[in-house]
Amino acid sequence: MESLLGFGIFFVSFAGIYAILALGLNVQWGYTGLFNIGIAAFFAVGAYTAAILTTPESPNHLGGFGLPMIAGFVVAMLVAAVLALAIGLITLRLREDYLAIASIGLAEIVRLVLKNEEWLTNGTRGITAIPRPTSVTFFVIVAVAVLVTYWLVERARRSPWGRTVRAVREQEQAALAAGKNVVRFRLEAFVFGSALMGLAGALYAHFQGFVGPEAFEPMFGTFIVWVMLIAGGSGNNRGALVGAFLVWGLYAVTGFVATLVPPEFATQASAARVVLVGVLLIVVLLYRPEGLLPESRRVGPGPD
Amino acid sequence: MNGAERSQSATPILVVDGIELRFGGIRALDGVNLEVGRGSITALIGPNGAGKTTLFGVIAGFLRPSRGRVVLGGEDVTGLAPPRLFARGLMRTFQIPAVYERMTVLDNLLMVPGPQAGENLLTAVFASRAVNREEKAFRERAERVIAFLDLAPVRDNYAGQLSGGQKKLLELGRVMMTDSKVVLLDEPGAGVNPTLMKKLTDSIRRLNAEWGYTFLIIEHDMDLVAALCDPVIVMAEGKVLAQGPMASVRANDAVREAYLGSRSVAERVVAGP
Repeated sequence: MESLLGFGIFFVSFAGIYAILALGLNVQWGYTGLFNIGIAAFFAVGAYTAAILTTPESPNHLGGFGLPMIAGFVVAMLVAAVLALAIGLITLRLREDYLAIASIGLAEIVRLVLKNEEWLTNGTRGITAIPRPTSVTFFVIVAVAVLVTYWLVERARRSPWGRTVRAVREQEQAALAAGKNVVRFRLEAFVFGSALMGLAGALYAHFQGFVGPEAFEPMFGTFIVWVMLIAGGSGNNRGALVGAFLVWGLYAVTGFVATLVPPEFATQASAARVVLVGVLLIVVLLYRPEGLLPESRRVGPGPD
Repeated sequence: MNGAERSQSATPILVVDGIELRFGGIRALDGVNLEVGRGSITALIGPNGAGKTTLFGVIAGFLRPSRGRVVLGGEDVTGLAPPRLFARGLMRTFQIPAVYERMTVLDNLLMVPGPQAGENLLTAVFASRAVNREEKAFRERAERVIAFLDLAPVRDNYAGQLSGGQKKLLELGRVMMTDSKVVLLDEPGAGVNPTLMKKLTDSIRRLNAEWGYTFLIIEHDMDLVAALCDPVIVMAEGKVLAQGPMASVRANDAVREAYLGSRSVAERVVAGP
């Protein structure tokens, strides 16, 4: 019973981190139509920023600075936001496919920097000794972070800002003709979403107590977040939450099943889990392309 | 006072002066000069490929001319971006209706006024009271527009579900959400059934007379043009051919020739630089 509760706390904490990633992506893709396939970059930068700031001083990497966790959260969001601003300023004026290309490139560059710049990140050995709160404390921290994030993104959606970024997503030319500074709105949505991804990264660092470059490969840094959002319902924040918990639940359950297969099939079993996530995506796209919880019709203030 | 007298006596609110624009070797606009009188409903007609929509793009800031000036209300606005032109009271619509498909008719209207306090992300999230007050005024205006254009039955539908004619009305509705002075309508009558067409022309006329909007309208439906517009400006091959009341334009030899297409597109391409 106790171990089940322990597993529940562990599961919800981890899924909560992904929920924040999915909410961040929802601001970018769901609201605004920004095709960010480099989520891992912002996730990783947030995680490493928090790690470097909060670990005790170490000869293996920059810092650490031994700062409190909260400083790590704030600066992680800021660094991710600045990175998004830099990339956004270059790409968001161009046609939309440029952001896709630039963001996937950024994610790879970030991963390679983490792997090779040993003075900064301790290379492939990663950063250890990141402060880890007790699992219950961490659970509370994640829960608060998810709720605050949800409140923020939902407020933004149900505002004239949310309405205008949706219009930018739907018809850029008409939004321009209606006097909207399309680039500014895209930039704001991109920076906002990326800052949330940075927060998710910081939470992840404290959850694991360790960060290394492998955690931010495209599969778990980017792809799975997309599956979560699309399965849950792009444009719908509750959908993003449901998608995160559902996909992560599926992944956890199959992970448990995978421990039951004979060890000689372990590699195949873990590959099969990834395939299963892909199958889920295909099934959703075929039978419920708008996701489990579709985008609500009304946007902006006032009743639905 | 009839339309002809009015348009001649009016001071121009929009002046297009020697606009040239090239796409590669093709001279899409080849020294366009025209004036739109304040308070007029001016038509811009001409055969396909004459450069009408391209000229709209230049006037509204979507395309940058290689030469020439656009003067709006006495101010040189050449090369300003669309949002800045919007701020100076100019709004355009599109040949293919550019509605926000996955937004309701109401939201299509509400997004137009601007800049809105609630479009600032921080204000939007943390200062909802100011936003709501402003929103209330927009809401009232949007409801009036919906009533004016008989869009009440589809008010909460996604704009993507509207018929082509209703989308044209919605575009006009978006114009009505602004305090624009000059409105460029690109083929407002295309794909509109006769009943809606009546509604559309009535609306344009009322917006002109009661709201004080100046219209420049690209249109192929000559009945609509004759009923609504004066003067009529004729473009062909990137130039203004003729300008004046419908009757005089119809009688113009150059105009007849342009519409019959005695000079082929191929010849124009060859003649390019």
